[in-house]
Amino acid sequence: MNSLILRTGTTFVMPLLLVFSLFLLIRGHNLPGGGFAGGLVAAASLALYGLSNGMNASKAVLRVRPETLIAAGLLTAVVSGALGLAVRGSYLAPIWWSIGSVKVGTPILFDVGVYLLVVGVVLTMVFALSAEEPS
Amino acid sequence: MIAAAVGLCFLFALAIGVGRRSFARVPDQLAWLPGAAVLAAVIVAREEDALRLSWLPELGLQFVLRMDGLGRLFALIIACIGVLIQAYAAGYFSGKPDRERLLSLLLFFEGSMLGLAFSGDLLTLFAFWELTSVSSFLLIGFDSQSAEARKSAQQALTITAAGGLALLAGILVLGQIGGSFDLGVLASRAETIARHPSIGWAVALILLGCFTKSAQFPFHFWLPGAMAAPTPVSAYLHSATMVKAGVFLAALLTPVLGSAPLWSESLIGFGAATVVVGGIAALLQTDLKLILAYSTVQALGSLCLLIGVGTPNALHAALALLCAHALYKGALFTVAGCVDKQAGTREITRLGALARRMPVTALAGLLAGLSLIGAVAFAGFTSKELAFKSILASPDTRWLVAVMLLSALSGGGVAILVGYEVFWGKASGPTEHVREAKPIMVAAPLVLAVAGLALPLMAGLWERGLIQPALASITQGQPDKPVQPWYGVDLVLGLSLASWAIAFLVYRRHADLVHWGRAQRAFPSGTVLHAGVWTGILAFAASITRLVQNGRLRWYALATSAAVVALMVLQYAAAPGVPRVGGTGLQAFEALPLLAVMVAAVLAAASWNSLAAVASLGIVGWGLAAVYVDFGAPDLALTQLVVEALTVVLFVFVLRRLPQPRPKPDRWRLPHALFAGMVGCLMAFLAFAVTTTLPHEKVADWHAAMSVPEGQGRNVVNVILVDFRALDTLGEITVLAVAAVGVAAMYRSKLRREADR
Repeated sequence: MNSLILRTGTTFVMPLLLVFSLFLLIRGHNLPGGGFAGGLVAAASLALYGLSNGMNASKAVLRVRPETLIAAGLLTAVVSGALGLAVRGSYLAPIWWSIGSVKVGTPILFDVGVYLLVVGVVLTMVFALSAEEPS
Repeated sequence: MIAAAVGLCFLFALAIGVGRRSFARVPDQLAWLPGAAVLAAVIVAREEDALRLSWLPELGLQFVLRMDGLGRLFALIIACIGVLIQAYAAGYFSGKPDRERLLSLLLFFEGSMLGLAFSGDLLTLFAFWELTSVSSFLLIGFDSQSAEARKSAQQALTITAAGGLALLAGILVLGQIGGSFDLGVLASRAETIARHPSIGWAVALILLGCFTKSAQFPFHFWLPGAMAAPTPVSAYLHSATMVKAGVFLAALLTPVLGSAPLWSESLIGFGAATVVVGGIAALLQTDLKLILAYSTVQALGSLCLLIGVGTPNALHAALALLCAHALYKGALFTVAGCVDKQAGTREITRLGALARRMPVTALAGLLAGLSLIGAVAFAGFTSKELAFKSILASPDTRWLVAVMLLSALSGGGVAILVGYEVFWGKASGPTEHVREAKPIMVAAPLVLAVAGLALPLMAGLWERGLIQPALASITQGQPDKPVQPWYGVDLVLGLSLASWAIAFLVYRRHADLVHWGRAQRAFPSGTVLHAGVWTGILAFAASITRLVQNGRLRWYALATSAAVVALMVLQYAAAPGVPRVGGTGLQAFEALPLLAVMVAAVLAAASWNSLAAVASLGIVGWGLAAVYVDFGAPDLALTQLVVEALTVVLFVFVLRRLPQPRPKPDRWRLPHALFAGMVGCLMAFLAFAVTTTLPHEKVADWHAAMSVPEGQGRNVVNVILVDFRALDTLGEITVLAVAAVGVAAMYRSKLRREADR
């Protein structure tokens, strides 16, 4: 899609959307949001960027292959569960630490895994389906 | 040390498999050292160091390795012959990369077999039982370039694995009846178990496992087929050890099932039939390995028969035969391997007069043959005497003397053919080129053959050290006579003399017998039947696949939705009364998005234009998001909106590649619409039913109340996703990952195929 307005617009909107997706991820435990919604927003922002500037530009922004994100996300989720197994003797049992007034725990880590995986899954499909047909 | 012996085998197998290159530098003369370490572990193992690991104690599942007398005897046979065969195999494949692969597999097999011998729990035993089937498959198909070997391996695997399934079912039935899988516990409840009305099923299924594994008639045909394996494998697995696993299990379960109905009748009946079939077939072959294979079938039949008779005398004889057979048959197989390797053929008609060329092999062959024919002072003599005596001792089993006589004369014929004819018979071709095999290769048959003579000469050690402890673990009774090298002149000796005389006649007329055997083609062999059943199953599977997996996407959608509708309707038809559907209190402004959703859904289905259909679907999604917001689920609404946006993007990419405009409707359109409508109505009805009748409030209240104290979060939806129901989420994201990888892989391979075209 060769549109100057869209190209210029997404150049500004994409980073904002990425920040917004992180915001959704972090606040998700107390307010609407979460890893799934956040991951979808991040993936949508990169897909939009790819639509306007070409998928190669989007891949360059992402730096890693989306398949790597899938693997990393799944691994993060599995590891967060294994921590529960190691510390509390039950797989996926939550562990919480307090840093000042902020609470951090393995469910947050799990959510980060979901976030990474969702970004990877959507972008894998987008990149695959947008691949140019051989002519 | 019990677990160590088993573990060492697997460890060595893995180490040799992984470090193939390094192990290739180990000279042939030392390649048996891993086996020797395992043997040492078996020898020093004591009954006290049993290993019990509890695994799901609620279901009584456990992993038990322990050693009783029977297990020790069996393990010693496995480990002793294991060392010799590994040395032999190193010489057999000297300098070839196959050497490491074979040694690794042999050790893997040895570990499975030792685990089987030491299992104190039926499920543990089953696991090792299956491992031996798998390693047997790998070893029969060792020469994977040969179609013959692959076919034989597959045949052996299907037979033994089918038997393994039957065995598992039998074990489960027995475990239900006896209330435990632990052999000790089961033995203590033997009397109640034997009286249970369903015990016949357990007996039949377990024996089916034993019979397939131990190549009993009518499943015996896989064993001659297994001769496609290299000779060291035939000597080890398909003569001395693995095929005895079925017999071993029958002996092991004698204290539990010995008095159950069907048990001894089946063992005696099938054992006798196997003796007859194997004994006769052995005399009709000309290939050395096939002669020995059918002779092994016959010996396995004898073992089953003796265990079926079940008196202390018969069990005693079975244990003696177990030892004697492992020694002489292992020796004869390795002799046959040496002859095959040095003379270049296994056809008995083309062999003869090799004694001068291969004196040590000839000596081993002669000694093993003497043991097989039952010459005085050899282990084979002792076991044959004991077997005849135990059968004659009871009037019920006296008719079996005829079977045992056939077994004796067949064994005698085989012994003369393999132990004498090959080395001292008339030469049928030039023998000058034949040389004696390497020392490391003749060591195995020689040691085994000499051991067959040494055992009866050290009868006290044999009896007290090996057989008595083994006997004590399967029966409380005592045999009348211990093992001895000589039992005096009596009826049994007379029978032996008669069998020798007939065996000699059989040997003289062997060529005629072979000729007669070749003429008997009318009777279909097991291999042919097996191939027929196999082809039939494959054809059936192919026709089902063609019907169900016909590649039409809409057929899949139709079948899936039809199944869902049918199952749910059936479920409701069986349930007492249809759930009450309560009022909804729908407000007018709430009806608006719902109306939009309905109109858009109809448009999406009816539109001829793909892009319009996608846009209509988008409206459905946005309308749903509005409904979510209205019902106070901002999380869902947010996710729904983003999903809709992304779906449109993906659709656009896909639409590029779909035919435009959409294909014209055909006669399937109406049924499809009907089914889609039914699924929709059903789901709507279910949603109504769930929200109006189930006590959902309690579940929701619990989650809402526990969210902050237990989940440290105020967003209940998110807490449920990442904490309360995190395992579900883990499963879902795994599905997502697989789906994404699948989409990418399919699409890329399609692009590549088009690029190639």
